[in-house]
Amino acid sequence: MISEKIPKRGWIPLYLLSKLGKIPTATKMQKLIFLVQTEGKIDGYGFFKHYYGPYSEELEVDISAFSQSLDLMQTKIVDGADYPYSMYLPTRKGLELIEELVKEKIPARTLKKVDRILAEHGTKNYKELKEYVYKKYVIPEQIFEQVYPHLSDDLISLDSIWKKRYRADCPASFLILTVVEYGSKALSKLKSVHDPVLRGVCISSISELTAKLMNLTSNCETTEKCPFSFRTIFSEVSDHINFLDHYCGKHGIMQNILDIDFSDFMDGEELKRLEKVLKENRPSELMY
Amino acid sequence: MKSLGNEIISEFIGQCKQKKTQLCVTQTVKDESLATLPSVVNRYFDRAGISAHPVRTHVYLKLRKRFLELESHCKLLNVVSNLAPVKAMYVRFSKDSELAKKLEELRNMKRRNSIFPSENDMKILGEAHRLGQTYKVYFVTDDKDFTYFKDEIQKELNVTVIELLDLPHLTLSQIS
Repeated sequence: MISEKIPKRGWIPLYLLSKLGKIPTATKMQKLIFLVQTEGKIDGYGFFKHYYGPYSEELEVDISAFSQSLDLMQTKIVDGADYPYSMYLPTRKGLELIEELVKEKIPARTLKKVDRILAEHGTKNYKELKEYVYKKYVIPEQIFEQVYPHLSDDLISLDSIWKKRYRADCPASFLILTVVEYGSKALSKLKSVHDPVLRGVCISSISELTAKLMNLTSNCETTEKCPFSFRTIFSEVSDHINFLDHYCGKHGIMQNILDIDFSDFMDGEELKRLEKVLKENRPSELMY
Repeated sequence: MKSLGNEIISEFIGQCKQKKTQLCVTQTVKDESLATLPSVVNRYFDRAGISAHPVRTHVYLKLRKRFLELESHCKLLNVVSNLAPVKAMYVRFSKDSELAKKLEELRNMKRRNSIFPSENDMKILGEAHRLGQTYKVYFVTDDKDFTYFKDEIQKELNVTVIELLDLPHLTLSQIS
């Protein structure tokens, strides 16, 4: 019986998929399940909330088992307009299983609560969900004071690790150094932001992104060869980056990466040097 | 990034669109191009000695967007590569003293261990070769792995290699 091969909590993502048909982005999946469990008071995945939450590693593990070994759902990488992202879809086997579980094992009262939460949040996109979660479960001011130096230290460590590991053709270093530099700049600008909600949302977003980068960093340590293609690593962190730069852009903390102010990261002298290099080298001369 | 090559490509695609001339790109070429973009951006910034990773990403995202715009005017093909003849051809080159010198030069220029092009580059040429069995194929490239051997490739694989900077000289009436 396949239902014996999945953990008890496994019905939650499968049920959500059967109700919604598809779930675009890992963030939407994570935040919806967090809301279903928190607002519905339903037992399931462990979410750590303080520095790096709300995010569940158990859920990530279940999703890869359901997609890669058990054929209960499908995870696709979709090329978005700006970034690639993950798309989750149910398989026939997954739908049959959830139908069986709903009939036999999940109390009707629980399902009613989930349906109510899905009716409220199911159609929101990941940015709206993330903002909702961060605002509603915003970290208090005293925690902000504690988190700030931790985060700043984490970003400094990541920066030095990845500057050492840097290679022009390494997708992980390309992306992680971007996020670290952008996140550090945003963090330093937050010092002059006084609105606690704005600060809370940004710090939660940078925290979650930092946790993701820490995780990717340790995955890179375990293999000799880089385990990521640019597309896969980008899709892993794209919704976090997209949210952070969308939110920072919307509230004037930092400009969106696509409208970035170059002077935040390089001076006039550097710009001139770059122009010279661009003039003197054809792209094909740098493809090796 | 403004460069003569980019302008030539945009101009050419614009003309083809106007004259309703069908351009094709294979899935492998598309994937390879997108995967190469970040390292090319990195190398420009590294040569200039600038860190500024968020700016690198900004440039990469703009390039990716522009590439996808241009690529949307092309027909995307999934072609089974005819790889074996391409590999055999490069092995023959390595046994010819003149051509072997060119391969050696390319190895040094591209800072790689093998004298041969990457597996993916050979796969791409193998796809052009496969298409060349049915159609007249113009293979537009700025990659010296191909342009250094354009006469040989024409002769052995029936693929016409067009150097990017020569593209403006290729009249649309030739390819229609």
